[in-house]
Amino acid sequence: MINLTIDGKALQVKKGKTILEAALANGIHIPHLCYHPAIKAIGSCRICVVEVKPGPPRPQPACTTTVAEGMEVITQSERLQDLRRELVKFILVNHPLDCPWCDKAGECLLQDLTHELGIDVVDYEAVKVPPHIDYESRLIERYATRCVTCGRCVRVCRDRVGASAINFESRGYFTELGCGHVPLECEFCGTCIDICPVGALINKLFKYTARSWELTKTKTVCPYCGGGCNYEVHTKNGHIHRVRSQGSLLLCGRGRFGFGVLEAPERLHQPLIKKDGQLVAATWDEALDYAARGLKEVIDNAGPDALYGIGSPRATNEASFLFQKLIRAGLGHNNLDSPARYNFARALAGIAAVFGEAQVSGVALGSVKKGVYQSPWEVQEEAKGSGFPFVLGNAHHLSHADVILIVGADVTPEMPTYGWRIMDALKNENFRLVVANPRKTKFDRYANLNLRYQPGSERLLLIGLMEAVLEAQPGYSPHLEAEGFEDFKKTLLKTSLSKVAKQAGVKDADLRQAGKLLAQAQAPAIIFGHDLMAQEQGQDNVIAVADLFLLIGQPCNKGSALYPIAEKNNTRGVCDVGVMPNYLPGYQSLAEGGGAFAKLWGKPVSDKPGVTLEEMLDQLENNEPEAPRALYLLGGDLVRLLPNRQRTERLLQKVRFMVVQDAFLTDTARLADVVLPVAIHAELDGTYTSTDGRLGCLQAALSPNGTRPDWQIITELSQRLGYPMKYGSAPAIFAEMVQLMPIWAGIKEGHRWPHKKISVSLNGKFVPFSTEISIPGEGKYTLIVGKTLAHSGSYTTHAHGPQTIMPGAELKINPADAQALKVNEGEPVKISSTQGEITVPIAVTVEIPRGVVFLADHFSDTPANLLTSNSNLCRVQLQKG
Amino acid sequence: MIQHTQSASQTAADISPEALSKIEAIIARYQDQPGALMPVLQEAQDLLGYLPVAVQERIAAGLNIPGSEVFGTMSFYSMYAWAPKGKYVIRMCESPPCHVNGSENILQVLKQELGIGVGETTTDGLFSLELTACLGVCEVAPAMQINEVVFGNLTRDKIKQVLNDYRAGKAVDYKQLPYTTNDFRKYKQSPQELVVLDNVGVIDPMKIDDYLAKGGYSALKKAVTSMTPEAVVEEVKTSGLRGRGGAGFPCGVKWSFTRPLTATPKYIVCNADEGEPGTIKDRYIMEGDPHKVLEGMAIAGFAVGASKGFIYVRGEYYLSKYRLQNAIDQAKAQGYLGDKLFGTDFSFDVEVRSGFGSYVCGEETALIESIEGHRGYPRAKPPFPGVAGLWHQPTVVNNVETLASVPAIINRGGDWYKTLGTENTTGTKIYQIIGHVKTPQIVEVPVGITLRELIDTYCGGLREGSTFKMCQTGGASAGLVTADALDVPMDLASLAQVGGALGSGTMLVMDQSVCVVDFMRSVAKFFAHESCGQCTPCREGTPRILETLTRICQGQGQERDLDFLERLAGTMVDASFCPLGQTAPGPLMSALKLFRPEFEEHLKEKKCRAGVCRFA
Repeated sequence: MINLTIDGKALQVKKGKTILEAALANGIHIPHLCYHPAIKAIGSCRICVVEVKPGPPRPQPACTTTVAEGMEVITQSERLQDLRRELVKFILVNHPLDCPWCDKAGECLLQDLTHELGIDVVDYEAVKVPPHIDYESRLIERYATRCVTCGRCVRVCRDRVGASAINFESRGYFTELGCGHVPLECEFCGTCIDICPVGALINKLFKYTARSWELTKTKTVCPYCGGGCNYEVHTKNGHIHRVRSQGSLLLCGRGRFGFGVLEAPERLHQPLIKKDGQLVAATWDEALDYAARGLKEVIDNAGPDALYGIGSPRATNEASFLFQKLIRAGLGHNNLDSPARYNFARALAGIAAVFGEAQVSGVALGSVKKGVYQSPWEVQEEAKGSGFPFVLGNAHHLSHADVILIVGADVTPEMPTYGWRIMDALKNENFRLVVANPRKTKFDRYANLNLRYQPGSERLLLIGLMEAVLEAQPGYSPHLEAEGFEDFKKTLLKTSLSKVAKQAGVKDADLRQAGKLLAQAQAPAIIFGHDLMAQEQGQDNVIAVADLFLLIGQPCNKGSALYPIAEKNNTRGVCDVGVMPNYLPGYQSLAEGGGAFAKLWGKPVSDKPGVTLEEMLDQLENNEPEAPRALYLLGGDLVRLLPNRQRTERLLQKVRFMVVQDAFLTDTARLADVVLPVAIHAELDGTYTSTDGRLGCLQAALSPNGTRPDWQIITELSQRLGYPMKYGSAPAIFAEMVQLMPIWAGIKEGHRWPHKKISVSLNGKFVPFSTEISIPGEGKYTLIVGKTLAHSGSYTTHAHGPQTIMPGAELKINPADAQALKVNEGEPVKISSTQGEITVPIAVTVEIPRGVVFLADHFSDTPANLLTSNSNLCRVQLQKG
Repeated sequence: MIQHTQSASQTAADISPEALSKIEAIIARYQDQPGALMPVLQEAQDLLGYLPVAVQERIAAGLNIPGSEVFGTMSFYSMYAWAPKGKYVIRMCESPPCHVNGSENILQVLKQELGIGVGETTTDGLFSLELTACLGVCEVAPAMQINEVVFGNLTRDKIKQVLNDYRAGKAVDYKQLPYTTNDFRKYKQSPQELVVLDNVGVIDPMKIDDYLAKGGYSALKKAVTSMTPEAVVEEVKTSGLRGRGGAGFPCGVKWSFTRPLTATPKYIVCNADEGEPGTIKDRYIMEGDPHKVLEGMAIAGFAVGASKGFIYVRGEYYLSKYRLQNAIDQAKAQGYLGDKLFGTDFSFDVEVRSGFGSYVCGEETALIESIEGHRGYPRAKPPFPGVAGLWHQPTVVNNVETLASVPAIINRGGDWYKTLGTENTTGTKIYQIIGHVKTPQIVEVPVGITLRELIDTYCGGLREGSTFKMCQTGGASAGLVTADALDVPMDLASLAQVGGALGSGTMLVMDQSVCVVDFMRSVAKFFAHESCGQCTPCREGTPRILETLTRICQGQGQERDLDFLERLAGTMVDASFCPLGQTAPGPLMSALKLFRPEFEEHLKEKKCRAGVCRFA
C-alpha cells in the first residue's frame, strides 16, 4: 500500500492506482472529462490536472499519474480551477449549447463541469469547423459539433467491444470521429452512446422521447442471450424508452436496441382458441377452460403420459419450475423437455459423460430466513462438489485464462459477454488466443492462431489438437485424475496427426503450434457454441471437447474451464430447474432425488425417465403408441427453430391437442388449439440463470397489457386440470424451488452457482466418440446455419432496432463463389437441399471460404430450417434466383 | 491545419487488376510483420499515386486491421493522398524559415505560373499545388519539392525554368542527385577536426568500401569483440554525450536504464524525423555518411541488448531513405549487420521506416506509435520508452547526430570526446545557421561557439543591407534572442539563461525586414498545423493563437488580445500533454517580452514597422 495525502487527507492506496482513482474511491471529487473507469485513461482533456509534490512544477493529470509514497496532492487551488476553467472554455467556445433539445441534457458531463466551475461566459470567439459526417448510422445519431474529442467512444469500441468501428480522423483542431469508409465494422452495440460524456452520439430510438430526469429506472435482466446482462429499463408513462447497462457500460445491440419487442404490433394481447379450424380471440377464462378441457380429454382417454410438456429457454426459472412440477407432480411422469435439447443439453450430457454427474455434499438448510431470491441452503466448511457443473466456467474468470481455444463458436453473435471477456484477456501480454472455425469470425483478428477447419470436422480437429499436445510435450499427462487415458491414446489418438489435419483441412504446423500453446497453458479455457453443438452429432462433438479439456484442463487455476454457450437468456436455467426428462431440478437423479420432492409436493415423483424432445418427435414420426396426443408448449417455437422444418410441422399436426403459451403467434402457435399470450421482458418478475450459472433477478417495470406471466397461466391451467398450485408471486415459487435444489446453495442475485466456497474434486474418464464425419444432403456447397449479432432467436425480429440493422436473411458467400454463380451482392440466390428450397439475397464476404455458405436462422419468411435435416449443417445447391 | 475528408463516391475507384495484384503482393510481403500499415500504405501510394477507398479496404482486410484504423492513421499524416493528384505534386514550404525568406510571394508566383490555387491540379494533369509545413531544407529557403526533388532559393525565374523543364519531360531523378540541397564541402569548414561529418562529401555514400576505408565499422567491431555491453554504456557515459535531438538528455544514462532490463526483445530507434523547422543537420549525415548512423545504432544495440533497430526518417527525405536502405543492404551483405556479427552471438538488423508528414512524430513516443502503424499520438509518460517503448518493449530512442557521434567515442574513448565542447555540453555540435545571413550553412564545431562567430566567421555575416534583429535558436518552439545574446556560448545551459535554447542547434537569424508579429503568426501556423489534437489545450490553443495573431496582422486586433494571448500561452504551457503543446507558445511569450511595443503598434496604431503586415 502507498501512503499519500490528497488535499491534506491521509490515504492508503493500492500500488499502481492513479491519483484520480484514489481520489474517487475516497470520496474526493476531481473534475474530469475524458476519464471513464471502463476504459484506459489517456490524460487528454487535462481537466483533472492536480498539483503534485514532489513532482514537476507543471500540474499533472490525476487520471494518468500513479500514486507514490509520500506524495502530496492538491486538487483544488485557484491556479487549478483557473486552468480547468480555461480548458472547459476551450471546449465551450464552439460547443453548440443546444441543451434545450439535446437528449443528453441532465446527464451531460460538460453541463456539470460548466456549472461546477461557474463559467458564465466565454470571452472570445473561434473559427468553427464544419461538421463532416462520413456515415449515417441507423441507430446512432451523430452530432459532430457537440463532440469534445475526448476519445471515450474510440477507446471503448477498440479496447472493450473490440470492434474498432470508429477512430479519430485528421488531426489538430480538425480532429473528428469517423469510420474510415471501408465496410463499417460497427456492431451497433451503442456503447459509444452511453460512454459519450456529451450529446455527440445519440440513441435514435430514445431521441426526443423523454428528458433524462423524467425516467423511472427499473433494474432487470436482458431477455436475449445467455450472457445475463443486468440492465436498467427507463420508462415513462408506461412506455419503455431505453435501456442502460448496469454496472458496466457494455450491452450488445440486441439488448440496447431490442426492447421494441415489448410494443411490437404483432404482440398477442388476447388469448386465441381454435374455432372451425381458425384461431379466434377469446377471454382468458374461455381460453383456459378450453385448454383444460382439451388436455383433460386427452388425459382421460390416453392417460396423463399422453401429454408432453415442452419448456422454453426464454421462460423464467419460476415458470419452468412450475411447468415441470405440473408434469411431474400433477401428471406423474417425466415426459418433458425443451429446445435446449438441440444444443445446451448436449453440452451438459457430453460433459457429464466425461466428468460425471453433479454431486454436492456439505450444504445444509440454514436456520436464518434468507431474503428474496436467495437460497436457504448454506455452504458448510466441508462442502464438496464434483461432476459436470463444476467444469462449467465462470464468465468473470474467463479473462484470467492464459489460453483460450474457441472452437465451433462465433463468440460475439452467440454471446457478446464472452467477447468482452476475451477483450479483457487480451490485455494480459502472456495471453494466447486460438480460434478454430470454418469461417472467419470477429476474433480471428485478435487470435495468435486461426484454424480454419472443414465444416463438421470438429472431432477430427480435436483429435488432432490432443495429439499435438502430446507431441509438444512427450509424456504429457492430464492434470486431473483421468481414467482410460492409455486406451484412449491407443484407440482414438492412433491416427497420425498429419492424417487428421488433412481430414480436418488444417495445416499440420498450425495444429502443432496450437498443441504447443495448449500444452504450455496454465489456465486453458475452451469456448464452444452453436456451430459445434447444433450438429447431428453435437453430443459427440462435446464429448471430444470434454476429452480435450480432461487432457489439458487445470480447473484449479482461475479461468480454466469449459465455456459452452447457452443460446438464450434462460437456456441454462431451464435445464437447471429440471425441464429435462432425466433430471429433477438441480440435476438430481430421478432415482435418488424423488423423495424430497414427493414430500414437499405431496405426490409421488416417477423415477422413470421421460423421452427427450428428439425421441418424442421420433415417436410421432413412427406413430408409436407412446407418442403424445397432446402438447403443452411454454413458448419454444419448434417449427421455427428445430432443424427440418417440414418434418416438425408435419409431426406437430399429428398431435390431437396443442396448447401454446407465447408472446407472438409463432409458426408453432399457428398449429395450436389454444394460444395463451404471455408477459415478457420488462413485464416480468422472476429470475434467469445466465450461461455461467449466475442468477439474474427481474423486476416488472411495465404492466402486462392483457398478457399474463407464464407461471400464472400454468397455475390457472393446473387448477383446472385438478392439480391446484397456489403461488402469490414469482419469489414465492423461487423459495420453493431453491429449497429443493441443494446444488444452488448460496445463490443469490448476481451470484453464480456452484458457490465458490464448495471445494471441487474433479476427475474424469476419457470417453470415445464417433469419428465419422458426414454432412447430410447433396450439393456442391456446405451450408452452415448459425447466429448473427443483430438478432437473438426470433424475438428480435419483432423489434424495430435489430430489424433496422438486419431486416432479413442473407446468404453469406465467398466472392469467388458468387462470381462463379454470376450473382452480385444483394441479388437473390435459390438455395435447395434435399429438404426444401428458399431464395435469399447474397452478401459477398471473404469471411466465408469457398464451397461454404452461411445463413442465419432468425427469419420466418426465409426459414433456414426448411433446408436442414437433423443438423445445422447440410449440403445445398445454389443457383441464381 | 488540415482537415481530411473522403467521400463515399471514391469507393467506385477503378483500379486495374494488375495494380490490385501488385497491392496484394505488397500486403503479402508485410503481412506478418507488426506495424506494417505505414509501409504498406506508402508503397501502395507510390504505386498508384493515391489511396482510393478500395485500396484502403484491401489493405485493411489483408493486414487484418480495422478500416477505421487505416483511415484514422492515414488522415493523421499530411503526405497520404486519397484523391488522384497531378503527375507532379508541388509542395511549397511555408515553414517559418521559408516564410521569412518570402515564401508567400513565391506561392503567388507558383499560382500564377501554374494557373491553379492550392489544392488544385492543372487541367493537363501535370501539376498539383500544395502547401507543406516544412520540408527540412531551410538552408535553401524559400523552397519547394516536386515529388521527391527539392528546388531551393526560389525566384520567379527559377520557378519558370523548373516548370518548363518538367513540362518538357525533363523531370529530375532524385536518386541521381549528389545531395538534396548543397555540397557540405562547399561550406566554410571549421579548422577543428570533424567527429560526425568527417566523411560527408569525402566518401561515396553509396559504397560501403569507402566507409570501411575510413575505418568504418571498426568501432562496432571493437565494441562487439572486445568490450562488454556495460563497458560500452560506461564509455558513452564518460563521454558526456548529450542527446542532439533537442532535449539534451545524457545518452549513456539513457542507455544505462535499458541495459539491465531483462525483457526481450529490446529495440533501438534512430529518430531521423528531423522536423523541427530550421533543422537540417541529420539529412547531411544520412545522405553523406549513412553507415555511420547504422554503426552507431548497432553499437547502441550491443550496449543495451537490442538486436533490432528502426530508423524513422521524415517522409520528405527521400534521398536519405534511399541511401540508408542501400547502406543497410550492403552492410548486411558484408556482415556488418545481420546475424552473429564478427563471429559473436550479437545480431543486429535495421529497418528504415518513413514518417509521412507529421512533426509531432519527432516526439519519441509519438514516433513509436507511428512505427507501430498508428496515429502519432504521444503517450503518457511514464513509462518511458527505455522501459516500455515499441510494442511496449524496452526501446532506446536516439537522434541521428547522437548515434553518429558514438563510433568516434568508442574508437577514441569517452575521455577524448569530453575534451571537446564545454563542461556542460561536451563534444562537437552541428550548428545550422539559416535566415538572413549571407550564406546559410551548417558547421560542425565543438560546443560553445558564439552566435556572432557562427554568423561572421562561417556565414559571411548578415546579408547585404541587413541589421540583426533577432534570432530564434534551437527551432520553432524555442524562444527568441536579441543582439544581447550574440556573444553567449551556444551550449545548453548558457542559451537557456538568455531565454533561447540549443535545441537542435539551429539558428534562424532575422533582420529588420521581419515583422515579429507576422513571424509569430507563421510560427503559430506551423504549430496549429502540427498539433496532433489529442489534448485539449494544444488542439484548441494553437488555432486560437493563430487566429488572434492573424487578426492582429490584419489590423483587426483588440487591445485585450495580448492579455488573451498570454492567457492562452499560460494554459498551454501548464496543461498540455506533450512538449509540442508545452513549448509551442514559448516563442510567442518571448516575443511579447522582447518586442511588446511592436505588437502594441499593430494594435493601437495599425502600424507594422517592418512593413510586412497590410492593414485593410
